[in-house]
Amino acid sequence: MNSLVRRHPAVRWAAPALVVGLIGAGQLVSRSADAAPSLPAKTPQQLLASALSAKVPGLSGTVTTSADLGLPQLPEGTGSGVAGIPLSLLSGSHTMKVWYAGGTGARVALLGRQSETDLIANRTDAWVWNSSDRTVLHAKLPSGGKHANAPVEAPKYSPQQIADWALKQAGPTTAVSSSANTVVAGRSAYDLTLTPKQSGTKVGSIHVAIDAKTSIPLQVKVFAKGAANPALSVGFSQVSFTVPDKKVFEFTPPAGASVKSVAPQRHSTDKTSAAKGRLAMPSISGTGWETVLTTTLPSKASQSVQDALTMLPAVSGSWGKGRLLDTALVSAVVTDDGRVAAGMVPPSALYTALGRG
Amino acid sequence: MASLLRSEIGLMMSRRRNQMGLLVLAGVPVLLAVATKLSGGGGEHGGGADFISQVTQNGLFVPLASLTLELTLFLPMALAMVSGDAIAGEAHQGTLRYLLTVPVSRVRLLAVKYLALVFGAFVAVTVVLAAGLIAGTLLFGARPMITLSGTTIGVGAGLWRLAIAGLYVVAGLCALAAIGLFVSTLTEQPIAVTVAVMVVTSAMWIADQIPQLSFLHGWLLVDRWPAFADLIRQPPVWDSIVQGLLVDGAYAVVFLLLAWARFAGKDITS
Repeated sequence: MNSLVRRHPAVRWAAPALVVGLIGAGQLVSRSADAAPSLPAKTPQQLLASALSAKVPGLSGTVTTSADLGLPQLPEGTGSGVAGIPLSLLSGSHTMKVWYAGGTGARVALLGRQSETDLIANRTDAWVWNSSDRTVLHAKLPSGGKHANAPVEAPKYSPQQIADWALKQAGPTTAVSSSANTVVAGRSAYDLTLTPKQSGTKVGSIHVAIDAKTSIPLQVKVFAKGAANPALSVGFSQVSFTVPDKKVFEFTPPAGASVKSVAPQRHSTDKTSAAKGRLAMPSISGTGWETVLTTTLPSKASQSVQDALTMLPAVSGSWGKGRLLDTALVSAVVTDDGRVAAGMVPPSALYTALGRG
Repeated sequence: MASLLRSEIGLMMSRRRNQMGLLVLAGVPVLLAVATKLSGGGGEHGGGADFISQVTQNGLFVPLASLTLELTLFLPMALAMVSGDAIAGEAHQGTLRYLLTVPVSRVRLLAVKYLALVFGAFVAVTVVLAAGLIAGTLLFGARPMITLSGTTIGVGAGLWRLAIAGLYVVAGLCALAAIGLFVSTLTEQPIAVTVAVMVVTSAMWIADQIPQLSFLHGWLLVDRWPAFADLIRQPPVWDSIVQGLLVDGAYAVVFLLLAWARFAGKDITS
């Protein structure tokens, strides 16, 4: 070896080249290890029924989401969104840690670069922690222990019946198949595929990966029509089915945080106050994937909504004038006189619906 | 070999410019702490989503915030400077050929040079953490640490995590030092090495910011350097840190082999 190197000094350069080659080859091998596994065949009915009855005592893992809806990239921390869940989830990729244990608790931690949003629920309390503004939302869960321990109400229908019903409902508009298999988070999974039969929708197909062993859905991917990459994807990148430690679900607001208590949401009967400032009941046109919802905005939309609208491109037609939000999967039009139409359809279908209404 | 390493480290630490460099590294945490103190904390809750906004509440966050601040420029620059001295500096001064008359193989000489750089990375990060801890504790006090997950951990546990975060940053700088050592074998101009290493580092930081290059991000050395923040979660998240260490290791191995391939077969004329 030594003499070879001494006679041909250039041979030494082979060593770093070899290491680079090995790293590249290692990557390729780990990719091809994700090739479709062979699993005992299951019909969509069987898959759906097993997914509906699936139960695990607990799990923990990493979930990655990615959204490529054609929206501009929203910087981290833009708007606190709903219940502390950042709006930035609607664009780019994000990583979450999830923990779940039967009746003990559940926790989702959305990881930012140097920030974190946590949703924690245990037997007695529910918490939302946002590290960027150090705020805590807290809700006492009603009669926690009893609720959590109560035996689950016996379902009126078996999972098999529900699966049959759902597939029958979807039948006219959607082709459902389970012919392909896939690998998610290193686990073999069935790929339940929903493909719209209607041509007037933006959705190309929806893939749900269902774990072969536990029947838990591991991943959901939504493809726009004709797109090679998913517009939306949510799934485990790593998962383990051991019950996580109880400590994970404990939370005490840290010193200096501002804590806001909220009453647990009840399906309130006080509709009059809730309805104020909300959207009117939408009217529906079209069927299945081509459904278009039309409604009217409350007369005094908030200033932030107005400002946001002016950032969207202006459109006009025989139906009137308005602003168009056109994403990979969904489009929506807000007219200047306050009408709204939205659906998983191209904008032209919205204009038709607006013209009719 | 041990005595060679000792003399190499002694030489590195005795250079006036390196001592000045350490002073600059120590200056940033002090500046950060003093500026925050003088501005009266500037908004308890108004701060951004990072460690810097936590500084007013707890002195332990000064070293963490300083690491974040110095990771992009000052720490890589320190390594770029000393790796310029490693081989190119000796060649420039004409001392390299005398060094090779010592009965030590070139491979060992290269190993000694790299170990000295590793030591330098360790010293640089320690100086940043120590200066930050001292300034932070004096001005804001050391309190139990509020993690990003909203849970509170004791001062002792906080210090441990700080130490691990420091070691993780050292690992990243060691990989950069391997690049520096390779470049150092290519030229006889130490300043060229410093510039080259800084260009490489800055180019990687820039590429890491461009979303259109996202397919490349995982392969960039600096991409997971800021992942030490994941240690300040409860429980700590190791995924990015482990991947970061793998990338660091891959860069170190490849560039050390490149340095060896170049240096072992090089004609030394100066």
